[in-house]
Amino acid sequence: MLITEKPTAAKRIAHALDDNKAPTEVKKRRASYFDCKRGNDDLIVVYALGHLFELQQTVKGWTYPRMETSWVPKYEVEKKATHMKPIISLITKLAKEVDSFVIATDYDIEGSLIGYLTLKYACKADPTKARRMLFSTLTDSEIQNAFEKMSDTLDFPMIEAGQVRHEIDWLYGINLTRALTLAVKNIAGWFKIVSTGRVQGPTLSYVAEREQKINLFVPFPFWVIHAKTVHNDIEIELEYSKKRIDTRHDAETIVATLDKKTAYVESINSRTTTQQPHPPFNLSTLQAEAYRHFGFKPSRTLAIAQSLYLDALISYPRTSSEKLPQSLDLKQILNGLGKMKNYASMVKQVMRASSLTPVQGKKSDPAHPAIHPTGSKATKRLTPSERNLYDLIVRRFLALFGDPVEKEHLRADIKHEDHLFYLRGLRILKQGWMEFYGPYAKTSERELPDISEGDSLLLSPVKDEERYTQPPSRFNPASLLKLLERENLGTKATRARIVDSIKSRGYTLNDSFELSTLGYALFETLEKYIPDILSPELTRQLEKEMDEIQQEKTNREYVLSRAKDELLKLLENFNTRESEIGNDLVMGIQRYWKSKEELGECPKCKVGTLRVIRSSKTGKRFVGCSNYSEGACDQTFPLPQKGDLSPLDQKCPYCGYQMFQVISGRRKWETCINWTECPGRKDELKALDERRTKQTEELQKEAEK
Amino acid sequence: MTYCTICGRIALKESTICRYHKEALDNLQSSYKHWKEASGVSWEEYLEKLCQIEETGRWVFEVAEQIKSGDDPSKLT
Repeated sequence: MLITEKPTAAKRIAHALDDNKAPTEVKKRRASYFDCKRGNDDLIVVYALGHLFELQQTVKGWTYPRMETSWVPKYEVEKKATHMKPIISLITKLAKEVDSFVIATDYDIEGSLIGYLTLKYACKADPTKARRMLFSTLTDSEIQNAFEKMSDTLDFPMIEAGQVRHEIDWLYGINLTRALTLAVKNIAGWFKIVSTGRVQGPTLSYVAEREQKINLFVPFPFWVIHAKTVHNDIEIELEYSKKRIDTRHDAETIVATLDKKTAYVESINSRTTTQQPHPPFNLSTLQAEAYRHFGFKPSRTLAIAQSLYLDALISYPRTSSEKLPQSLDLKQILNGLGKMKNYASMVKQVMRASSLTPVQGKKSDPAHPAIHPTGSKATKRLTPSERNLYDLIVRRFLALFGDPVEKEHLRADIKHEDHLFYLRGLRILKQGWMEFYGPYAKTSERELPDISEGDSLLLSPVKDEERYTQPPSRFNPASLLKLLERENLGTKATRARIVDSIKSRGYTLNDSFELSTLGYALFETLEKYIPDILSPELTRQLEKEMDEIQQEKTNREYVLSRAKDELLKLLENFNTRESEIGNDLVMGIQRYWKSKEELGECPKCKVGTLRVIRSSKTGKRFVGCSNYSEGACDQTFPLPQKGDLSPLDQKCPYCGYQMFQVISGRRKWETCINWTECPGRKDELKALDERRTKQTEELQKEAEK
Repeated sequence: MTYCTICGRIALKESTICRYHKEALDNLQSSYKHWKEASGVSWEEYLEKLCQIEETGRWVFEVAEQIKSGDDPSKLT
């Protein structure tokens, strides 16, 4: 029996190993497995659906501390996981007739743990007798090779490291979240989940500290000088050598000295630089680049990359490596890519080079190489997002074989007395690897105007402009992910989820990670009473110890017992201050609700407050007056039913009603509560109507097809 | 216990504002010297300017608005 991680992987592995390349899918109720024949062996390929088993507390009660756990089928912990029941039952039933087990899950901590838990709890088999297939791509040749050369033993240090990570994350997440939630419940009687966790706490603290810097920022003024000149009938903008002038007086003096004066081209210098190709992608560089070019969140990039991997189009994406091993058959990959019409001409160019030596990066990963295409053809039609990401990966791979880019930087120095201006030009002398990386490596060339040393130029007009220093920028999903990686918090597999969770818990408002009042309330409370939860030190130390388990420098029992001791100390401290913590959180949550749900004074009764209300009958939301319950005011306004609402600090310029923002999927717009009647929004409503009609027509056309 | 007159958080001891707005007030006051040297603005012009610039931090903006509306900065602390 081969245990795989997902149905798609099972299908691919069964197909690769079957002598006739035609495995049979045997369907049993709501599960299935693949039967195949390889030489004298009858193989059964079963699949998990990621983790089939989860941790559950052994002592009942929604309270804390809860320190003892056991692994149970996921459907016992999550109501939504009932579809896993027939899969576990099928594996258990099939395992009774099996004489040898092979783990063929992804080769990383999670994959090894999924295989181990399935083997131990579903197959009820002895893990010490199982074997392990190791592969980085799902191509037929690599799977066959992994099967022939499988390891006689499972990677137990990796499994232990995975197990302890789950246990520690469970202990911290469950106990701290319960402590916070119960602190609120005991004070206000509300049951509002207030979550935190081992990595979530420090992540929240990074976001909050950045937000504080932004909120406390006082901009300073400075001045820049703009100067223009005309040469050969072409208007040219000149760059003043001093980028910032500190006082208005100095700026005005410079303008007075230079305006309508003649400057001379003193010299024209050129400098040639070369730029090597970027190293191959690992997961975090791929996530950063995909965010930059396509706006994909890191978790989305990971999901798309995972799908490309399961289709055998790219290598395993959860890797830290920026290196391609020598054993990799580069020619085979290039030949495969050469058969694709988008890349054929580029591959020809690469193959023309005398040696195929790709550029390598510094980071390595013992389990997997850098992300690269396999050269296999897609078996299904790729979605536009998949196509984009695949193109990015292929072009990055081809660029590794390209020559360095050669650039010529030109600078003309233009002088009037002691004042110096620059004119810059940039010429690409040799495209090199940029030819392959194409749209992802754009450098805009700038021609230097046709001037010569000694030419005179009339400076007119010369002006100054007042500008202000900028606050630090907020995080975006990619920059927050990068910070977590730099600070060694979480793993390449978990960071994207943590970044998402900060937003999904309501701690930040939008993609720019602006801290919400709820985020502030939690941060302030934790910082005041239990700052250790926010400290990256504690979690970094645990990460280090978990890595040491993998390196066999320590063991699971020791690390787990230390983590429990630390957590118990935190919880004891929490318990003694529970009511103070609860009070602060309740106040923060009230501020949050106020900021999310209150839309200013009622325009009708002028006494009540407008609030977002959800109808208990229809479940639909609308704006109503707080005086409604007393029967004093019946003012209501309709609201869009989809999307996240946040009141804005402004009034509608057309009708004077309160404005609010709606974020729905990737669309974001601002409108007023009076949007259905507002004279300034007739066009918006018309456009909305047209969009809806168009959508209906398209749906009808598709249905007709 | 008193609450911040600007945001409703718990105010600092013997103060009418919270620690964040106090820090914002300190920043606002200490930065005026720089502004005066750079552009020669008066205190009132400085506050007006800060309220117009979008780069101004939210807490600094709120404190500036509060002072503009008539609160004596020394009474805020």
